[in-house]
Amino acid sequence: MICTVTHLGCLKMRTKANRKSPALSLFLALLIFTAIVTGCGGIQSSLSTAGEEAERIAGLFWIMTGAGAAIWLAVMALAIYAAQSKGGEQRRPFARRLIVLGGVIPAIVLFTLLVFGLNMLPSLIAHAPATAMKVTVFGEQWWWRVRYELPGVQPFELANEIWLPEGEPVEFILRSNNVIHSFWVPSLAGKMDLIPGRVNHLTIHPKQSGVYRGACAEYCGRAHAQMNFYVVVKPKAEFDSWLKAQSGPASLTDSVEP
Amino acid sequence: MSNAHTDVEEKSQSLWLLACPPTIWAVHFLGSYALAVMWCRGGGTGGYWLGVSIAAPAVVALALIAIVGWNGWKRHKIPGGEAPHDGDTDEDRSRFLGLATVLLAALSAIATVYIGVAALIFGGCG
Amino acid sequence: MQHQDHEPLAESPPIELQRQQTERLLRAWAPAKGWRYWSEVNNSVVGQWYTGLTIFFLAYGGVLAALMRIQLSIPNNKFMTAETYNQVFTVHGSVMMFLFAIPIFEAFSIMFLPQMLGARDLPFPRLSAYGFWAFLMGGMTLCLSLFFNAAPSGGWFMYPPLTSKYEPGIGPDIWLLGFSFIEVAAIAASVELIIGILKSRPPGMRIHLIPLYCWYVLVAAAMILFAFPPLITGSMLLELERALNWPFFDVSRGGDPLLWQHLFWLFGHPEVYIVFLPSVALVAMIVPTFARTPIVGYSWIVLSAIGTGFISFGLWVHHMFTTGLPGITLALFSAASQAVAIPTGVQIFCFIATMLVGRVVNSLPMMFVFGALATFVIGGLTGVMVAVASFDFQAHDTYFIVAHLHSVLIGGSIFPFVGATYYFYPLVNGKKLSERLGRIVFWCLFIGFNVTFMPMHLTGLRGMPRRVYTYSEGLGLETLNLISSVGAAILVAGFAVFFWDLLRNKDQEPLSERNPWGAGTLEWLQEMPGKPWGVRSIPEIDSRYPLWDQANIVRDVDEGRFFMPDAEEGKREMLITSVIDAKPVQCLRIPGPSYIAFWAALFTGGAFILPTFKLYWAAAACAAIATGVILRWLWNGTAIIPEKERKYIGHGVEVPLYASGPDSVGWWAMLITMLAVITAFVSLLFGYLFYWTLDRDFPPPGMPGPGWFWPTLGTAMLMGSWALTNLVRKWNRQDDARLVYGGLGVSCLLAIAGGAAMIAGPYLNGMDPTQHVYAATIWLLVIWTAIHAGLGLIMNAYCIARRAFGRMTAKYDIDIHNVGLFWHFVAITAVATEIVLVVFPILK
Repeated sequence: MICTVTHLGCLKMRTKANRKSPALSLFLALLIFTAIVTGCGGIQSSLSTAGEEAERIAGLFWIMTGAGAAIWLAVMALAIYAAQSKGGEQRRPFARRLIVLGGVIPAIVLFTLLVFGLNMLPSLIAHAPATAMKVTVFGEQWWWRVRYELPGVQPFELANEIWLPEGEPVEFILRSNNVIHSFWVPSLAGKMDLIPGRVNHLTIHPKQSGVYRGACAEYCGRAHAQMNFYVVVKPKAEFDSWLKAQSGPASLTDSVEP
Repeated sequence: MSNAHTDVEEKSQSLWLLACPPTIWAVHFLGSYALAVMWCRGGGTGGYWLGVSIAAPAVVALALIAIVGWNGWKRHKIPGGEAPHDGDTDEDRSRFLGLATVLLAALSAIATVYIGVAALIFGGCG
Repeated sequence: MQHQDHEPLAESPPIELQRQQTERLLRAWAPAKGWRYWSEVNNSVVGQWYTGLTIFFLAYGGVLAALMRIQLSIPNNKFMTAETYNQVFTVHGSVMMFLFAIPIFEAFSIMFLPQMLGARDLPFPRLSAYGFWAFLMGGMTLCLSLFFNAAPSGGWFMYPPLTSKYEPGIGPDIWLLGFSFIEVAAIAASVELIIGILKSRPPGMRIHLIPLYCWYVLVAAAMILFAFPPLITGSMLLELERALNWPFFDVSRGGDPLLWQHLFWLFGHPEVYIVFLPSVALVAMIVPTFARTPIVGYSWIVLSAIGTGFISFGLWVHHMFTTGLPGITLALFSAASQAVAIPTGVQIFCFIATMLVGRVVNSLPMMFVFGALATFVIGGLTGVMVAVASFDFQAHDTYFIVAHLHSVLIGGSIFPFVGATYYFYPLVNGKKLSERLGRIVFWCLFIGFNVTFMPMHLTGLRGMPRRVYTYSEGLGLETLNLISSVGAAILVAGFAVFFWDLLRNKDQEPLSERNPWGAGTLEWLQEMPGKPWGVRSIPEIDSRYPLWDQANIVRDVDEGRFFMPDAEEGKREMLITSVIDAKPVQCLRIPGPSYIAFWAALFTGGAFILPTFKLYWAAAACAAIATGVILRWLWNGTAIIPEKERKYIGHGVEVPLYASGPDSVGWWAMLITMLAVITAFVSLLFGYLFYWTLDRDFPPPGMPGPGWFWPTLGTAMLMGSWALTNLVRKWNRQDDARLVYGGLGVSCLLAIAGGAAMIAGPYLNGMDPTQHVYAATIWLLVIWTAIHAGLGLIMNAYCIARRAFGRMTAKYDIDIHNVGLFWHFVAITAVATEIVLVVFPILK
């Protein structure tokens, strides 16, 4: 935020009154206004993280956004400067160098980003350790069938509701026998599709207890917009007692509406 | 006056040469993708050797790109012309085609390096 | 031998001669009047229809977007039901991508490309007209479906199994068949543009002097040849599953929904660059004009265009990052997706460099250029962000992507398009649009765009997925969506003013001065208003900016001091030149008004669209009539033997009126079309290999195959037909009539037998295409080959008739050359089919 304002100030100093800087100021003001008014939080927000994976991705996002904003401002400043310049042959060598740098610098920056981004990738797509709890999710039209089949516990199913222990990795097994859906709990992790004929997996490490909301993120028909679910993360002890209660005879569970 | 090695006659020039470096990149890229698919098929684990199997042909691709680029460089460096090469002469036309070839070779080389490095960093199927 | 430059005539031709020349040109080129106007094929006329229709579709798609934003302005809104919204968003995306973004560059190019090249028209005017009528029919079918509650609702990307098994109405069929029809028209446009750019330039406009717009359009047109066919193939597979229950995407019978995604995105990703490149090309024409200096970095921009074109074919899997693909695949496509940003960025720096060296004049088109830059760079940066697979796991299928895609499309396509409309408008009817209204349009669009789409980055990250007809309260999405909807209202206002400016009556407006912006490229030779013949005489070019560098060029062109200042025989003629150095090689006679293109489009359209309504016999009849119409078109209107061999075009140069083989534009049209067709075939092969790479047995054990005998026999016969046809070409040259008729006759028989033998394989072995995807794939491959054999049969019979009626002779032999070329592709198809059917199972 401070960076943005400083850049804007530099911009105003460097350019005389011209048709574009009111537009730029307006644009930046709008951005700042929106961000302030709405914030980043929420139970379905990838910027308000409660899981390992979401946290790593959010960190990457902020770095890329900062770099992106700086690059955009630099390019626009250059463009405005160029539009205002008196021109002439003496500017040609600098102009040519600009083009070469316009190829070389992005090549280097992108390469760095590539290495950085790829280094993060294995941990995001790895299976959970073999001892981790597995939860199977079936995408139906238009709800989520959640199946717990754990050793020492009778298998049971929930609808649109998932309970997880805090601080432990969980492996989700994702399947569908109708259309393609996508399992997405933004506060906890990225998404993974449920594709007929395939078995996909998603590893989640919840770090903070709370209730989080998930959505279907692949258009799956009429009520796609209603295909939401809740993930309840509890400390291990509470989760264990919940699990024991679940594996008993079917009964009405407590509502999880926040 | 043209270098004996670089013929500026119209019939010796071609747009196909321009397309060579990115085509080499494309062949290497698609080959790498196909290799990855076959290797990971049926639950393979990929890993270091998959990465090397992609990075090694990348070196070959780079060499081929360099050869085409070198050819372009010779056509570009016909003595006598200053950028921009916009004169209505055989030489300037040749310089332009040469420069475009060199630039495409550079881009294709960078893109090939990206692929090779990506495979080396993350060669796994998981 | 050094290139021979031709100077314009030193003296002005006598006034009386100029008057007679002008009169003859007018007689040849004057547009038809009354009802016959609709049979016109001149690029200026067809270009106006095409542009007008495309802008209509832009408005239509925009209204749909406005409806969507009304629905999303508050949570749990009841403005639209889910069913309606799902149709609306599907049609919005489909209309914008297929009926606006692609056609607008075709329309612009048809209208302006010949003028940029100092040409009188494009080489195949009736093909452009055919493309227009096809576009009209296919486009209106889709748009009208919404009013009958029969629109597709599977998203513009139509993923199965939703669209194969869960959408029983005719909506998806309209999409699949209607758009396949339009895609065929787009490929026709590609053929025109590639050949126009490479072979119909003014003498002396060497390859390094061509306008940058031409480089970009050349690349985009070539991309269409390789990007559209995978979608055509995929659409064919999906339609076959829907109509005939062939299980390409049905998991229970060996199919896989992911094949559609591959085929769709193999099209879909290059598609967005096909949209972007010709639009940024407009910027490349506008910037030098208002910077008052030639473009800086011409070679670098060529690098940008070609580099982006190639690399964009290696990105498609980045739309599938969340489908559970192996990590190495994610890594490869992530790397390529980031690499493409390099050439994309370079051209922007070229524009900035040009402004630096020049002295920029304040003007309305430049405002749009800046708007485009500001918006597109944001989109490019968010594009790099989502290219990083790790981040895409969160952003994919959310409003972050909606923000990204609109930034690049509005920044990279809409802003340049609107700016270019203000810039090029004087070339359309000699008047200017309103500067005052234009500024209002700019500010409404710029502000409206930002208010609508910038918040969406946050909306998506805060958890709003795409394609939802509503959202819940309490998630923090209300304010963001409301802001976006307000922005949409501002955008609507901006477009409304723009359309008003375009449509309002300008009869009272003064004519614009000639070359109102003081530009340097050839399209600004045009008088205000333009004359129907385009350029008065075809100039010799010495520079990238002839109007700036060549003294008196306007006077010289106007007085007929250059090439072809006349239409002595009263025919429409244009100059064909060599690819690299633009030396005159042929005087091409092109057709005047003709209804044949309309009829061909009508019946081809019937063949594509009637199956939507299950009217299969009517569709087959339409296909037969269309074939007849096209044959008549070819018979009467192509490869016409001229009354004399050569024509004098001025300055001591005589060129032939007829060229065959690789010297003829028709041969190149066949080659380019077949490249697209073979790409569709390769996509089918890709499908076969894709099924094999799934973790299942393929071909499945115990299932009947086509055997080895029939496919091998069929292939051998088709190879025989191929060899014979190409021998006939040689025999025809030698004027040996018996061998020609005999050879063609036998090749016809071989074609019939070969096609039948191919079909016999799966048929006699009892392969049921509804039983398993293996059987369906084999059937499709043999049917495809058989259809090629059938087309070859028709073509060879056509050659027999042409020779019999004296329309093809030993010397004038375009037909057999083109047919021989076609047979090369049949041979490739047959051999590939043989390898897949017989050799591959053995090797496996």
